[in-house]
Amino acid sequence: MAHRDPRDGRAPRPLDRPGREEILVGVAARACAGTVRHVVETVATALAEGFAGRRAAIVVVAGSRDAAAAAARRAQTGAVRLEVIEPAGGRGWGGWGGAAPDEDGALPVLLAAAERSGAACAVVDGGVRAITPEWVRLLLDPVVSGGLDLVAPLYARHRHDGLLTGHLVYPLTRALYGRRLRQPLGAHFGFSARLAGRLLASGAPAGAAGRRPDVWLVTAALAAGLPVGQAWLGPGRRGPRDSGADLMASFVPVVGTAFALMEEFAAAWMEAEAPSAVPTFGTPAAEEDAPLWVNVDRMAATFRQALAELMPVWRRMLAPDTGALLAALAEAPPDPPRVPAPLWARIVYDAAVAYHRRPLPPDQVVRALAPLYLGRAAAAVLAGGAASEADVEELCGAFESLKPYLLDRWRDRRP
Amino acid sequence: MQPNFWDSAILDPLRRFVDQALTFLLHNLLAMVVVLLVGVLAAYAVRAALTVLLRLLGFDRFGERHGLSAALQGAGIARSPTVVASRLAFWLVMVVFLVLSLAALNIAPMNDLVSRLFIFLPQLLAALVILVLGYVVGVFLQRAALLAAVNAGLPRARVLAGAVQVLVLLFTAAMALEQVGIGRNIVLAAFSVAFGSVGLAAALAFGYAARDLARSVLERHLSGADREGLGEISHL
Repeated sequence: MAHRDPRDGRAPRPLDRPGREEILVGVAARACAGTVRHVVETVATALAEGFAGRRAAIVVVAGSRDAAAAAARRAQTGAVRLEVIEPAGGRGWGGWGGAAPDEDGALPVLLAAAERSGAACAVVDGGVRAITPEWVRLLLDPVVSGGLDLVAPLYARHRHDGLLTGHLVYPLTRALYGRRLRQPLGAHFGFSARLAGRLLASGAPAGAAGRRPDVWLVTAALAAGLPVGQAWLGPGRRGPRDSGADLMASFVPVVGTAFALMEEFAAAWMEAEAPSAVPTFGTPAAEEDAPLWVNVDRMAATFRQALAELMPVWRRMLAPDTGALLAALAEAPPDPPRVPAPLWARIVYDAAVAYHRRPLPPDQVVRALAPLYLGRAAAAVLAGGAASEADVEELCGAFESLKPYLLDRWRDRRP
Repeated sequence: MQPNFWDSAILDPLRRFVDQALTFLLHNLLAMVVVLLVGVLAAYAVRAALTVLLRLLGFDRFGERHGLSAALQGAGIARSPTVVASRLAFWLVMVVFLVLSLAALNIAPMNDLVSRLFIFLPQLLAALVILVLGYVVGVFLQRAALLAAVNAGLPRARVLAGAVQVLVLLFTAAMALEQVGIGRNIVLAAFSVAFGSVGLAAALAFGYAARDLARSVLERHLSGADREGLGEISHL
């Protein structure tokens, strides 16, 4: 049976060949020639030990001019079928946490294959050496045996790591869609053929217009009300493609995708009820305690400079009350100014409404939000909590209590 | 006096004049009035159609987003971009029909003037379009530069962004003037000199005044000595 190719008119790829796998594991393998063989062999071990008797395949997606493809082909996978795909566009998956994914990425290929064969699917990052067979089992088992449609990763993070997730993406996703999925961004997921079918039916390629596929995957599952869970994978999130050095490279696609999906799934989040817990698998690991370098001075300086120079831009995208609160913040101590949780929630909601109504080009709305996020994050780091659970819970409370404010502003057509 | 003389010297010329005047009044003036009336109707129709079309296309939101509304307010025009554009179209159509009505009078000097106006009108329109587009692009790039500079931590971001906008506006004005043929060579020379001077001044200013900034940027990217052995936070 020919599967529906999101990129009609292209030559068939290896996964178009008939296959009756019950389990598919995709490995994103761009620019990770040093680790991909280990990752593939670990996945093969996990499949052989944890899912013996089930037909399984590993699909490695690498850049067409990437040594990772050759390295992956050298992996010993035993009885598990191995496919290595090199997308025609020359760029592979991009890694979930790296550069903006492109439409030649692995996700559309894997979604189509999962939908066609009805297989449970997992995706893992070929650049993460810390992967263990247990990770693969935790991602797949709730889908294969538990009836879940999505398993998101839970990483043991340093308290200064995941600031964007803790201060923006998680509180926003939780308040909007009503599920407590703690880390909606990640490089490792398990998902069902049913979710794959829904994603393909939505007609939007995973990498369309610089969208982050992880945000798309999670948001689509939450908006559809499908059963979701999360699994403790331990440490190992951070890699060279996922550093804080270039914030805008990750901030713009992540926040832009979240805001764009708010338009697409408006009906779902407007009707969503109060947040509920999701099933969690695995054993919680202690947070990383290795010393981390945080350039708080630079973050705070960017925020201070933005307070002095970006107020005219903010006034175009924020509600007048929010703008006034922000202006008052610039005048008052402490230094750097601390953006309180309720004000931060209003700012994010106002930015989402501005992204929707377009008083500014959408990309500029997101870029204008970045210094405000840096101010919020810098103050949190200085206060010692950063992305601590207490801080994040307080923030989530603010986002949830202000959701009626978002609904009013979203529906209000006045300029 | 002889009746023939009266007829030939006074009445015939007078009759011919009255005939010509009546012909002029009945034909040319009437044609002019008709053209003007058609013009008024056409102008109103164009205004109404353009208003509907621009509202359907969300032109006011486009103008809001790209600073057209703010520019109009800054110029003391308290109307929406749609209203302003449709009124401009109204008067443009009126001017075209006014010129056509002058042509209908069929007076030789007027005909020459009309043909010149018709040659000039497309150029004037093109220059206007260039100016409006240049303004929109200038505002967009100014804001993009401001956001990029602030997010990169560059000092005096607003000055930098303003310079970007001024350069775009200068370039646009030069193109518009070139389009209408006003001082082609002078405008080209002045623009080349101004652009080159700005580039040279920026290079000198960066070389002399921003050495410390360049050094700190390079150090930040290359040394990493203060954080040797440390990981860097991930925002995600």
